[in-house]
Amino acid sequence: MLIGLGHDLQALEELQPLEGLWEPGAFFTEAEAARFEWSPSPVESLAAGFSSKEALFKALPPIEGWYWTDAELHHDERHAPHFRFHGVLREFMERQGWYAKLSISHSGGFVSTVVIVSTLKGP
Amino acid sequence: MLNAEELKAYIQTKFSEHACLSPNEVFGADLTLAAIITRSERMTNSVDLMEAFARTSNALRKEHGIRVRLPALALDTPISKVLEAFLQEAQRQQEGRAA
Repeated sequence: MLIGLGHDLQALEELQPLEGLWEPGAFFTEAEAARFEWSPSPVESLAAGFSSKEALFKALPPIEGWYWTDAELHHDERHAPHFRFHGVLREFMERQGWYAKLSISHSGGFVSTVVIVSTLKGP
Repeated sequence: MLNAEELKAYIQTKFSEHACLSPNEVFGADLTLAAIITRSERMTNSVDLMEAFARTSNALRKEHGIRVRLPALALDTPISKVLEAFLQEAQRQQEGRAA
């Protein structure tokens, strides 16, 4: 069953002048911030991270008490992105039996992200 | 260690500074996050809003050793609720260190 769908479009140029979001522990976890910094295109990676969380937020119903660092962006061995949930958000998703699927595209100075939350675990 | 009032004032001052608005304009009127974006000359969307919150959080960490995670809240949330979340996080850490 489909629970929610979220989409986000993020322009890279909006993130170029920023400093605060790069620091770990506020919006991004330490692992996310480190991966952005080491990536070949740090700003693109940061934009993907930001856009993913925004799309997830749009796909979810209001949930009291979760933090942006509770949704941590990871990539598997095929470089496919997925979330690892922590804290209140993890407890909520597990209790509901919900899963989040994520797709990220980069093109022309933009990052586009789609998140589907459903009861299907999928591949 | 900052007391609750000092902590509150510090967070209000830092966030307002990063939003390019006065503390009274933001916290006095208890603006929603959407209204802050609309009124601030520095902000156009949620990226700018999160940057201002992240800078406030980073300042707390650098100047007072307090780590504050940013709460995931909708744009119709009043700023008082964000402030409350910041204060709870900060006070939990301060109490943890003092214990």
